[in-house]
Amino acid sequence: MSALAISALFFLSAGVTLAAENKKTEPTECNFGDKIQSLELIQNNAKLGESEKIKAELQIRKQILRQIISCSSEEARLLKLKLTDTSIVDRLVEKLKLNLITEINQAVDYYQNKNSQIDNLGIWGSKNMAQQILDWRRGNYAQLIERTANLVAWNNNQGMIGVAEIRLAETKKDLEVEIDNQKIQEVMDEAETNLTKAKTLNQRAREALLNSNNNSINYLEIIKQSLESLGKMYDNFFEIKELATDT
Amino acid sequence: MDLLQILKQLKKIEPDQNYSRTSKMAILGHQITPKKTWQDLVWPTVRFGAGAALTTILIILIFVGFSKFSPMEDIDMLTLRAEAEAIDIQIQLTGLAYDRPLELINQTTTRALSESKTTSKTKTDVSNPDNKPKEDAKTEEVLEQVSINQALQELIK
Repeated sequence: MSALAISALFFLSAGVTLAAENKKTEPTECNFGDKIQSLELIQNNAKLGESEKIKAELQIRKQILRQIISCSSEEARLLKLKLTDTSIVDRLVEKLKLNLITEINQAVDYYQNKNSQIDNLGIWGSKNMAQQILDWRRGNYAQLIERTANLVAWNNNQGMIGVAEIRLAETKKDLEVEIDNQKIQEVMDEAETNLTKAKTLNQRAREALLNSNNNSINYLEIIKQSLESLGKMYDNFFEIKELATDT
Repeated sequence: MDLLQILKQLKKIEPDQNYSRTSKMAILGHQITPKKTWQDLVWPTVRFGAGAALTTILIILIFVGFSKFSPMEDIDMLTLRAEAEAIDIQIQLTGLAYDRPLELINQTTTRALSESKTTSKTKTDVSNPDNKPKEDAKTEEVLEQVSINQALQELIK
């Protein structure tokens, strides 16, 4: 029973994956292939007169821009929803989460502001707006998504470390009788070292997460290393189980 | 002693009680059950107790003693393996997040892998108008995958 409860906690902490399926941050119906194709067809249509072509091109450009802004706003809204649903125990990280939500709200305002300008655009204006939005998305918004991903990655790691600690304690207790076996003791020590390493890296990642000004730290690499240490600890568990069965 | 007194004495003569009882039962057609001794009373109790004890020992052996080699052990291993696999998936997602942080947020590995294949095709086909008129299913599939940023790039042209 306890194994089941711990597993439930583990998978819950791993991101509530299935529930998240319904709250994807990238809207699924936001593909622009057909409209881009229509734009290209108008641009290459030799039968259209110059003014007809401009009129048709402008119309399709505005449609695409509106669709882009609608999809981008939805993307931001779902990103916010995902963050709001993420429960965080750490007080400082929770504060960071609230800051990110504020920034996402500002992103939605940005899109709304751009949307209100579309009606007055000409062809050059539409190209200019597309460039502005693209630059903004590649700069500010990409960073916002990256920081959100960092926070989610760190938060997922907490649940996994918590369960790994319980597993280590359980394995130790199970093997109290066989602990005099030298090889088992060695692997158990290795498991403890791996857990300590995972926790140390996790702490480093937390500091990096809270200090977002420090761009020199490869945050995701630290999280990845922490997870790899946890993975090695599970390999130790399997080895211990095997050794215990052989004795 | 006179004859009368001798006859009175004869009236007092009785048969053996056990013989009387068995004879009576034989006449009445009943099965004769011998009288129970203390061994007869104790032995069934001992036999039942031994059986119950043996059953209890077997149950304990099945659920506790043999647990190391039983399916209960397998469940533990399965749980551990599932947790180890979840860590592996998280490592992969973290690796993907360098380029695709949204995938980590969404926690969808399969989608990430399928998209990484289609987007590379999209980039080639959409940016190359010479290939555009291909009216086959493959082109349709590729065109459907134009993302927000790719659409913006097309609008800048």
